[in-house]
Amino acid sequence: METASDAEIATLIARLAAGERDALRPLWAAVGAELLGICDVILADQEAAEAALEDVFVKIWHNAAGQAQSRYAPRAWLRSIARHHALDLRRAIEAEGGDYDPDGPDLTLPEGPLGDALSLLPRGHGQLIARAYVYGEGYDTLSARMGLRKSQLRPALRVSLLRLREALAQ
Amino acid sequence: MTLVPQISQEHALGAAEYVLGLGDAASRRAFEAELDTSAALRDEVLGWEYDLADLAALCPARAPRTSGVRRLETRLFGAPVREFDKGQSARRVIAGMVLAAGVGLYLLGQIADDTPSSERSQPAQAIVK
Repeated sequence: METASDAEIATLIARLAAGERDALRPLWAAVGAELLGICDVILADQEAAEAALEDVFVKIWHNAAGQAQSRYAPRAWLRSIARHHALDLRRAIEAEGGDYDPDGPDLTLPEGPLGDALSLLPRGHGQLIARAYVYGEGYDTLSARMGLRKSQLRPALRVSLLRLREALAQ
Repeated sequence: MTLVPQISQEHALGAAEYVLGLGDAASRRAFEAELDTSAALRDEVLGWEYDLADLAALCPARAPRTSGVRRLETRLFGAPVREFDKGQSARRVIAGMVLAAGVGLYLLGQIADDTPSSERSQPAQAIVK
């Protein structure tokens, strides 16, 4: 699977912002698999994830103009749209009593500054932050996983988030 | 010189918790209400989104079905974007080529008309004919 560069993605988003419909398929080809992977993991349902991906691209089409003027990396923007949409869908499913098993395997932290900073956090907090991001696990799930009360985990994890922020700012 | 922080530590942590989805529905709604009124807070959220985005690479990619993009185009534009329509730019290029060819032939005709027939080269005469 070929990986599109940030510059290529930015160009396609700028074309969408200009109303060029024919930029949609190249963007779908460039990042569709990556965004579908995010929806797959969060929703744990391939059919629902495929439908969610279409919703994500509708949002991308309608919001491309705002991103085209943003200083933030386009890939991070696309990932955040996919992730938040999938999380919203999952919360809605859970609120209606739907079943979701968030017990995904432990994650291998990514290489690079973020992975390095996460791996230096104490008490496995790097893994917890990664699980929150990837599986959408909140304080309730994470504290149960750690055998702690939420009132114990939250203050400690917040300290780790501050450390992470400082490490990434350097 | 001391830089005045644009955002409090509490708000920075709130932004991280929001991006990670750590809180419950009520805390998310409360934070979103604050987001509506604070550009600095929105910027902080974007910063966390950017900082954490590499974690998305931990999700295994899967190629979507090709029918998905056609459904998407139908949803957005009423019908799939036809191959012919795939480039407004392609249409512009073709139209430009046709126009250029027309102008070229016209100018060639003008030159031929201005040239005494005895001075016309054989190829030019052939084109005019």
